[in-house]
Amino acid sequence: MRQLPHIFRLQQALQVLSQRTDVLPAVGGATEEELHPDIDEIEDGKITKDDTLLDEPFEFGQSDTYVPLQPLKRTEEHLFRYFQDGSMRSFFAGTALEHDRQTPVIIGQVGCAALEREDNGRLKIAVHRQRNLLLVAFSQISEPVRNKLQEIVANLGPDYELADIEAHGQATQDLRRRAEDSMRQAMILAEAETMVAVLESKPEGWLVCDGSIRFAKFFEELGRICGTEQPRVVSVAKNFSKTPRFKLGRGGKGREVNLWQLLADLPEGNRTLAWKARTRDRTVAVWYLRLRLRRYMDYPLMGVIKVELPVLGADPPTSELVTKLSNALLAERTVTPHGMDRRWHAHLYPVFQAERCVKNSFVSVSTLRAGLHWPPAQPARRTP
Amino acid sequence: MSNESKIIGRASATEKTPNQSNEFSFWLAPDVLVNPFDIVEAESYRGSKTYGLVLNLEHSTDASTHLSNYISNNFGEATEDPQTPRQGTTVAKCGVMSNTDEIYMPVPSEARIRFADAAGILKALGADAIRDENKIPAGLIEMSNGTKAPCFLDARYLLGPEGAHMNISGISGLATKTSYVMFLLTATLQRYADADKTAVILLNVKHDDLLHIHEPNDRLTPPDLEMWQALGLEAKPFPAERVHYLLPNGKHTANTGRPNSHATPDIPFDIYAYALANTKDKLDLLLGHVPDAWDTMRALIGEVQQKLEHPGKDPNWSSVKTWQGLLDGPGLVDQKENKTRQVGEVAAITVNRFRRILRRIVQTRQSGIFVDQLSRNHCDLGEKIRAIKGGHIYVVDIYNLKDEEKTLVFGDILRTIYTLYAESDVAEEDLPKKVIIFVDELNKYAPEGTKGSPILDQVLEVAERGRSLGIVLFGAQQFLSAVHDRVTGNCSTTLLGRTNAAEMAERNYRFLNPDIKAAATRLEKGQLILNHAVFREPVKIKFPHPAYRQPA
Repeated sequence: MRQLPHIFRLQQALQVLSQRTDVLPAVGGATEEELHPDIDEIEDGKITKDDTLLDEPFEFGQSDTYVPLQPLKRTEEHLFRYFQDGSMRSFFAGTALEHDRQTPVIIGQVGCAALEREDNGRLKIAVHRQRNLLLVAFSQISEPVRNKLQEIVANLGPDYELADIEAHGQATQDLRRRAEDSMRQAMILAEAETMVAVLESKPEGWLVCDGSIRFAKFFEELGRICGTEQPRVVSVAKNFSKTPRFKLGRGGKGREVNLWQLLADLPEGNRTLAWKARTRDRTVAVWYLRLRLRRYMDYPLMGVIKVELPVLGADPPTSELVTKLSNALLAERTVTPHGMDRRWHAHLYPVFQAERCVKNSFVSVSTLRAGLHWPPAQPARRTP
Repeated sequence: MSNESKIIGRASATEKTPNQSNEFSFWLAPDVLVNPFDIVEAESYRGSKTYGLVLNLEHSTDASTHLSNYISNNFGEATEDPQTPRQGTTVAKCGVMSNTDEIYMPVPSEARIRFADAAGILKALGADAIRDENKIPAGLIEMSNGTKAPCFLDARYLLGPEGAHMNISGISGLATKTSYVMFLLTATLQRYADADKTAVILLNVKHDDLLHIHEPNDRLTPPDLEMWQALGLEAKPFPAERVHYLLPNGKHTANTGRPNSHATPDIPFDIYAYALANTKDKLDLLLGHVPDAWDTMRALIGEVQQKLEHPGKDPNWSSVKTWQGLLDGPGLVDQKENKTRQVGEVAAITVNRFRRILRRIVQTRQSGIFVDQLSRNHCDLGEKIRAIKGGHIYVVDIYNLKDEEKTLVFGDILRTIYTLYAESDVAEEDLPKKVIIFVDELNKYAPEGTKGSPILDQVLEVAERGRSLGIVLFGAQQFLSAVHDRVTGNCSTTLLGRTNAAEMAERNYRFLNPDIKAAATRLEKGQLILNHAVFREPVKIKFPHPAYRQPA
């Protein structure tokens, strides 16, 4: 297995920052940055902000709003063999000061793992990508410092990256919050690389990605690999935007419902009709599937997942394919990460394990503090 | 060679269960089968290997509660199989046995784990240091991967002088305890360097179990024979010319010529009996069970023994020659007034009690072992024992005897042997170097919680001083806790057969790890847990069926 890059090698970069800027170390050492509690939903909201009304059924073969499913067990047909999820963890190391400019110094780890499920059900790692990042606001440090940092990080290899905090997010945001957006972009990149590695190296079996697949990088790679053919990949979202509305029925009999209304009557083991959704030129068939018995759930939307199937050609997927994929997803309801993740009701266990695999490879804050630290302050040498 | 064997897992140290100098854990690779008592080797520091005994295995998954598992099965859908089996692993907990370089640093996490090979097993036990002439096969260690290794006892610790005595316990009915002792005696007489100078005395306590030890066992199966061979032993009975059967006299022996035994051996045997003349110095053994809070009975026995030893000093005792004479003769009863006499300082009331109890033992409820005079067909057991020879086996049958008679016979044997070795002026070269005495139901003679009985004193003498004299006690009983601590505490070799959980909770088993205790409750027939002075951990062994004929 490929050796994962080690975050401690970024110590050299901290050395440079310490020597060439004034540093205010984080009190008590590096601290882990908290992620927004509903970040998945927020992210889904961003990527689907144009989906205000999903009015175009996007499957060929049937038009019912709800479609009953039968779990498709791996022992009958092992459809989904790969499951991937990405994760990230970042630490606030301190603040670098140059004159009246200042930037938070963030050390981050992003990664993505795809697990392969063997025919006997056993999971193993198929692909694992990890990248270590040093994030500073480029506009807040001088060019010589930035150049030196870039030189050092570049020498560490492709798994290390010096990232600009301000490259993503909004100008009005706090820099530490914007760093999260930059981290997320790096994670999406790692996810896209992982997906490509799976699709290119594994000739059979479908891949389940966690979250949304509607990012440009994904479609760019899918287009390159599959052309206009149907890619062997779906994405599954546990938390999703509640804003879209849906048009049920055709013509004059058609009516619009919101997500709550749509899902309120969705029985367990059923899926909804697939609709066409787009983010710019990236088209997906999107539908919802209820995995769990409603009577056991605290909340009507619990136990429901949102599924996106990328469509590269002009034609919609067949209802047969959508139902088959749904059947296979329904079978994934056993087992669950109940007790380990509050989103257990909509979490697919192998995806959860992929996430765990990535997180387990990250260093903890105590390890980071032990291995990465600011060098002792040295008096600046000034020329007379 | 062991380095080429398959890796079965990796050591695992966690925050909550760190590896320590005396124990470590490892997770098992999928499809690997490991059982408690398997011996494994872990790669350790500086190329050394740490050997561990598997004590227990735990399987855990990432389910935080049973409820999670219920929910995971679609809320109790018992028929639906999981699409992805839950992540779980089996972890084996091991007790550290040894390290090849005496490095007792905890086994590092991720260390590769393999099954120990046969040489590794001996090294792990510490049995590799036993010199060949001291190796006595004790059974076969069988591991889950099929590896078999003979397990050896160190004769210096089994038969002295470093340690001595063996005790075996376990529930009855599995035919394990006696069979094992007989196996170990066979192994000793076949492999011990001084076997020709080692005599064995066996007490037959059940039917005719030990009355055919010179006859071959026709029912040995090929696996039995393989096991005998694997242990480097010949599956043959004890040589008939070296086996001596000493059987008790019965009430009808005089008429039938048959001893009071369940069966009669097909080779010559001796019939032993007790007349007053050869019992007078053992009266304390005969009456040892009588409650004697004020020592009056003991004082009387002393007085009576004195009188019997020196009958000329008191005319009333000169005619006391038989049991009848003792009970009703002038020694204890005033013949004119027909009243019980005071004997020395002992009041008549105690003498009456003595007569009453002794009469019951030697007359009214006796099995036939007590005779007025020894006939030509009778032998004196003590004399036979005094003539003991190295390399010979003496089987003394006590099965049909009453409890007091059994105590007398066992006490007679112990006292005779002890006297022979500790006090007698018999030349050392005329005595066997070692005498092994095997008795089943040892708890009858040395029960826990008693003190001051003549037979117990005799057993304790042997247990505590026999090691240096060359007298070795092999004892067996159902419950170790029922035997006197000072007896079991002096045993350098302890074996456990299947034992119930209540018994395992007794303090006598504190030396065992709780996991081994649990394993002892589920041992199968023919399996034992062996703890030997030179072993670092107890091991589970198997042994073959005896090579002599066992009655159906």
